[in-house]
Amino acid sequence: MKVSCLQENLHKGLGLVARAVASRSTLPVLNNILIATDQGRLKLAATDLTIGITTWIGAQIEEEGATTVPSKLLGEFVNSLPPEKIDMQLNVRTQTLNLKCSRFESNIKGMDAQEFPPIPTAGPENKLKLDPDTLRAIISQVAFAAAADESRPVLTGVLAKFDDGKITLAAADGFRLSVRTGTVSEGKAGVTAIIIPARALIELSRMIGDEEEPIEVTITKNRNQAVFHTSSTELVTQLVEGNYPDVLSLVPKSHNTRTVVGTVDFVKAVKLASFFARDASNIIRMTIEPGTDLAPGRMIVRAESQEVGDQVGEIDATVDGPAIEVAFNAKYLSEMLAVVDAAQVAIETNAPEKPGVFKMVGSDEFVHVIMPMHVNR
Amino acid sequence: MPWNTIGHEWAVNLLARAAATQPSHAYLFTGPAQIGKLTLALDFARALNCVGPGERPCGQCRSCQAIAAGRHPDVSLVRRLPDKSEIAVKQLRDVQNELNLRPYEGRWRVAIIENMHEANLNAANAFLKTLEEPAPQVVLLLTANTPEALLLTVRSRCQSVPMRPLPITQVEEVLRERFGADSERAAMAARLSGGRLGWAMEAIQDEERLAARRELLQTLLDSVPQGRSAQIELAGRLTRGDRDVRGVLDLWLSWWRDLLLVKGQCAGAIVNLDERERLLRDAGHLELRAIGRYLTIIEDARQQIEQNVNAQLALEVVLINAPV
Repeated sequence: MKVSCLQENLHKGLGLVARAVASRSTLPVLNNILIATDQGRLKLAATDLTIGITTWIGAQIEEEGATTVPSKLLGEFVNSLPPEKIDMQLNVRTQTLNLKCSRFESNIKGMDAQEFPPIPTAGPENKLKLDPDTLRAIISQVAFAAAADESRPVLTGVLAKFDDGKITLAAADGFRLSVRTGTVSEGKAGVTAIIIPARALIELSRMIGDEEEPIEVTITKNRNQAVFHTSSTELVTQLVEGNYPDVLSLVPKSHNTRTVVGTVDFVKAVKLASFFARDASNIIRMTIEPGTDLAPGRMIVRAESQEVGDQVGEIDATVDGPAIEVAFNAKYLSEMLAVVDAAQVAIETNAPEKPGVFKMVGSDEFVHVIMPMHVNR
Repeated sequence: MPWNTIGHEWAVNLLARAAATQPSHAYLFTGPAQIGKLTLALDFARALNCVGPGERPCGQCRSCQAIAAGRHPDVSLVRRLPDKSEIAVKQLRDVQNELNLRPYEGRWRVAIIENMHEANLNAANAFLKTLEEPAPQVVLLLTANTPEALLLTVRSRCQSVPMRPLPITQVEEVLRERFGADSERAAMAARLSGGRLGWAMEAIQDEERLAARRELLQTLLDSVPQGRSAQIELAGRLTRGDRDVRGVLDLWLSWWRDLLLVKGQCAGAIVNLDERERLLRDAGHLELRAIGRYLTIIEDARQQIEQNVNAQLALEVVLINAPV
């Protein structure tokens, strides 16, 4: 293999794929990055067997070939090189990659590319196209709700449901549930549902950072992987095995009280209360009072702890229905509020021991359900 | 050469059929150390994921070669880390997480847990859920020296594949044909192996092992007429540091068993072929009963050492009681 490329391009490409390099693995080759010539471009790839990232960068190819070299070393080395042309040449017999840039030269010992597990690629199966902004928003509003502990493996994943031009992502960890719907801009997958590891989606959302072209999504034929393809990069993720519980049916269909509050006010109130809630099992109490002829409706957000003290905040609210007091976990409230991008939030409640439903006013694409906390009065 | 496993035909047949149809979710291979449990498990893993045409495993395809080289993404091998005394909970948790995902490139995700009996109670319990109900495309392969060494709850969740020692003649044949060993050494190693092909193969390739064994036997035999102080001194020497006391007792047991065989007119079945003359000579002046009694003493000492008795004292008792 004999190629040359620009330091900027190589650095950027390595930064992208390095996210998928296995930190500790039983297979030593997974600590490496695959470097291969591929139809006039240079292919960089890494995988930890759960997610794999492949990217292609422009390069001048004099001789075809492939090898793998340690990700950390190559990444740090290329990062420190001056922004000039890099010449790479592989000694096939010793699997040593020679890099020359400006007046620096180095030899990096690698491993045979044959040992690198093949990263599945998207076949010609039915492709879907998603708008990158929609995809980013959907992921950020759902992925955080996936379970962190592995006791129920399917819950560590995010359910992705495709249904005639619509994509629905849902994640739940037993205490909360986040559902977000979006539109598929092109292509149809019929009705299908897969479970994608939450980590893969978070990496994906980082990867498509400033992408403007639509993202292509393909599910491989054996339904083992999903492939996300941007203009120059591809992310492949293994899918989680199993059946996702029917969480969509858990969203309460009706409510007694609907409260609409300003997002900014609500965030502020929750933040202030959370300082005091820390020592009191993270409990935040919300007292919702409907307006009368004389006064507008209001919501009182309260937290108290035996040791630290207490805090009360009051925000204006439009309340439709009887008064109610419910308590929620401060962490769940603030994580949910962090991803809301609407001026107002609607809170739908039935009873203190029933889950609360949070929606963005003016959009029915996002639904978040939080289980209440039991408090003694 | 599809299956690497030699012998164990019924187990190979069972697994080949399972690989071609629907394998069970978990198998437990049991049998003495170095009998071929791991070899069989790896063979089965190759058969499950082989992509070659015709008989599986083919041994030629990418998948077969990757598994043989220990770098197939869907086949993981869990074993006790060299610096640990048991398989840790974390090792099993890590493999559990992998098993929740669909296979990377093969048909099956295979996890091989070598010497499951080395997993501590917590690790074994942590594994029960996976063992009972793994994801659909998962096959778990456990190996253990005896089924009794495992929790009943682990045992009952696996299909058992008990492996018996191979016939001595078969081991002998393999050593002669595959390793070109001369018939005398092949016969010796085969007999010493007790039907454990893995042990015999190692012994035949390692000149020193047989030499060390001969030397140890000589030392033990020499101590018998030397009296108690020499015997006690020898017991101290043999138990110092992390020397393998069990190995010493096994060796000593094999010698006395041979004497019993010679005495009982079954000299054809003896293990210590290279000391045949000495056996015949010694057997001449020893009483059958005394040999029998002494064998019990050695057996007892072996069991006591398993139960954490002071190894030096146990060995002293054995050596002092040797019939002259």
